[in-house]
Amino acid sequence: MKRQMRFFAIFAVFALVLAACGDGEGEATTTTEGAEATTTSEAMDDTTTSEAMDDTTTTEAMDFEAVKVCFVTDDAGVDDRSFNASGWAGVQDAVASGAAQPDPILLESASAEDYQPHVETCLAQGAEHIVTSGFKLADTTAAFAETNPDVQWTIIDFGSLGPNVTGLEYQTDEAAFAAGYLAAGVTQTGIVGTYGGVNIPTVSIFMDGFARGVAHYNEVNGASVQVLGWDPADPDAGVMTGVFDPADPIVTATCESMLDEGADIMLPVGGAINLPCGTAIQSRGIDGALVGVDADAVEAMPAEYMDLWLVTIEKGIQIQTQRSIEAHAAGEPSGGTSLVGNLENGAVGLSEYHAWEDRVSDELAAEVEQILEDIKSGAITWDKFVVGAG
Amino acid sequence: MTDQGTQSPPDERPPNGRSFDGVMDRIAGIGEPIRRALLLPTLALVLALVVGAFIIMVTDVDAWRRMGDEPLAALGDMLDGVWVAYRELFIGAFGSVRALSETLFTSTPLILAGLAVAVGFRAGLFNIGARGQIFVGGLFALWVGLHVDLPAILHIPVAVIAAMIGGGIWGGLAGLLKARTGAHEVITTIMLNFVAAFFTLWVLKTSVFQEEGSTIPKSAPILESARLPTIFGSQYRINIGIFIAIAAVFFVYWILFRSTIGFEFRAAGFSPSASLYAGMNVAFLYTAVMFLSGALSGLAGATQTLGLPPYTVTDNFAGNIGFDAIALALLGRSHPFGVLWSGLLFGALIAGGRVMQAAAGVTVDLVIVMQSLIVIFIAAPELVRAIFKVKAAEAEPTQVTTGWGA
Repeated sequence: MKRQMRFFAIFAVFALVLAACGDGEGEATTTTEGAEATTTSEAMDDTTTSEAMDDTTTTEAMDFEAVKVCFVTDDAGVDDRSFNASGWAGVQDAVASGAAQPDPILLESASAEDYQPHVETCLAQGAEHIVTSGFKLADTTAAFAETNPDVQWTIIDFGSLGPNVTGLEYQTDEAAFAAGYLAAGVTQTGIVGTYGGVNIPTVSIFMDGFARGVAHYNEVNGASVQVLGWDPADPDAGVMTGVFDPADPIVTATCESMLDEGADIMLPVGGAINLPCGTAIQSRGIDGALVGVDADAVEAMPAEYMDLWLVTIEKGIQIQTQRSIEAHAAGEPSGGTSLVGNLENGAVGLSEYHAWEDRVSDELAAEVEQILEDIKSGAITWDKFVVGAG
Repeated sequence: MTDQGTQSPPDERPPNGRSFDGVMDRIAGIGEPIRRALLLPTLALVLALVVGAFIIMVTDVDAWRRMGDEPLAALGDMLDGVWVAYRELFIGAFGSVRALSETLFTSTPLILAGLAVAVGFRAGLFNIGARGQIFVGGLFALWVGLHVDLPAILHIPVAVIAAMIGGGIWGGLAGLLKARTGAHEVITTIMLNFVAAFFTLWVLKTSVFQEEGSTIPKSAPILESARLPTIFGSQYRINIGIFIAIAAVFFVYWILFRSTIGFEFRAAGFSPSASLYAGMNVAFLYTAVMFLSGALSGLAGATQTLGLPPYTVTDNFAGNIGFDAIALALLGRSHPFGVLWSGLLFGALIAGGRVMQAAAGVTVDLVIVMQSLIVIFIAAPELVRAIFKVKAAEAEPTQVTTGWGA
């Protein structure tokens, strides 16, 4: 008895201590969350209003009939700092704009076994709009979209799968091309590198555009900047880590082998697999940089890498997810079509230069701007990746 | 690891033991041995639930915000959060036909892979390679499922046997390396996991498995005749894989405790040198036991490629099964029936965790934390004994292997 009493006493003390600490933590969390909220809304203003969104959101914001949204990640989980994270952020933006009901459901998958039960859970919870994230969910989405025609679906990084499914796809090589030109313009060693997670179109499209942008720089300026890791003529030989897990030693090894060969500007494509490369650049004291992908890395990635980001090739998963839900809430669902993001509609683009602002010469910055314009207008074009291949 | 307190409880008779009472007791779950075998895991589960509740409370951010103003209401919120989470966990695991189907479906590969690890433990081998063996076995089954045209009555057995051969070769390779060169199976099986995982990634992008015209690493849909038939109709995922798993439990029980080779496996687990002295071919035993272990993992691979709707296969079909299997084998004390129970427990936790995530907003990671806690408590019987004041004899430590040098 005595012993049990002691156990409970310890338990109680522990609880009190934790309560005390936790209180502080609670406040701390509140503040940071507040701060984050401000940053995101700023970022949103930046991209949304300045680019393509002003025509739709602001005017129709009042007419939404909020829908119940359910979001299913693939096996990378919602903390992947990549498409799952961006898609979920888009759902939250839709909540903020009144298109989605508060408290959308988030279902994280740990393996392929989870996809079907998660989608079934969404349906059982009465979701009206289900967002599935990534090609791994394509077959499950197709099957359940067919048997649930009244539900609207959005699938990220895949084409439309039926009359009630909106596909979100991205011509990211357009922006990657400009980033390649920029990287070739700032490299001091004359060598830039790129590697991907897995050789799938949504990854290699970045690497392909990037390599072509470097080649374009060489052509225009008579330079001979070299690209490691990707050759548009031989896409099967692209350098891939095979994993999206930044903790896997192969990721660091892949980056370091390129640094060994003299690369100073690196474009690693796939979630957070660029972070180990940032660590390698820092620990070697290389005066180099990383090119980010998806969401502006300065916002999305940890602060210790802040000085490393030359630019981010932005892929507007967040904004397109929001748009798809908003279209549904406005009574005109976009199901049956693929929303292809590109430079023209602002769902693909380059971020600001942030820490590298001062190191990109005005001429180079102007050339990059011009290239972006030329790609939009079609003055510069090439054999682009076909998006929508299932 | 030490040798003390390991190995056969007194009721386990040598291979030629005639009485079936022990078996019946285990099956009926009424005998003293089974009570003792279940006591520690049950206590560990209770402790894990307590700690899990604590974690749910501590991570309830909204409640902490209220803590300053109305501490009692905030505490009430936290307790309510725990109640809702555990209620949903239970409902998700057992609360409906769908829940039961999901629990059994999720348990199936866990039981099979858990048996694989348990067989290794019994022979003193630490098979970390279930993951790789699941990949290779699964790919063998997938190949048969895609390219061999047979009626279902033949197609499924052929695909399943192919999976056992594939997994068996992958496991047997590690056994052979140990037998011939002394390479430690922990190292070789971990490395073979990487080889298998990357091979899977690559091979799914080749025309052998890929759908024509596709550019993503995903297989074509397997032929209807190779899909494991569902038991309660296509709206429930539970399929005949669970029968394969249960049959495997009895088969492994028979091999380990009723056959001569199983006796030799366990003898080699006790002491390789004594077994050698007794005239056993230890090199052969290592290879054979790793082949058997790999074949069981391969079966788990088959249930993942032949039994998982929508019947197309993407790269990571082994998921966490290979590692959960190690925890399972420990929890089940490397006994086939123990593995069956712990496989069902883990399956219930995972299936219930999916529902808990949706309905209670508790992250699915909590389930992984709880699984880990259960295993930690199992591995630290002194702790459990101290807390619950259980007699030493009843909470004896779990057998693992005879050591790293074995």
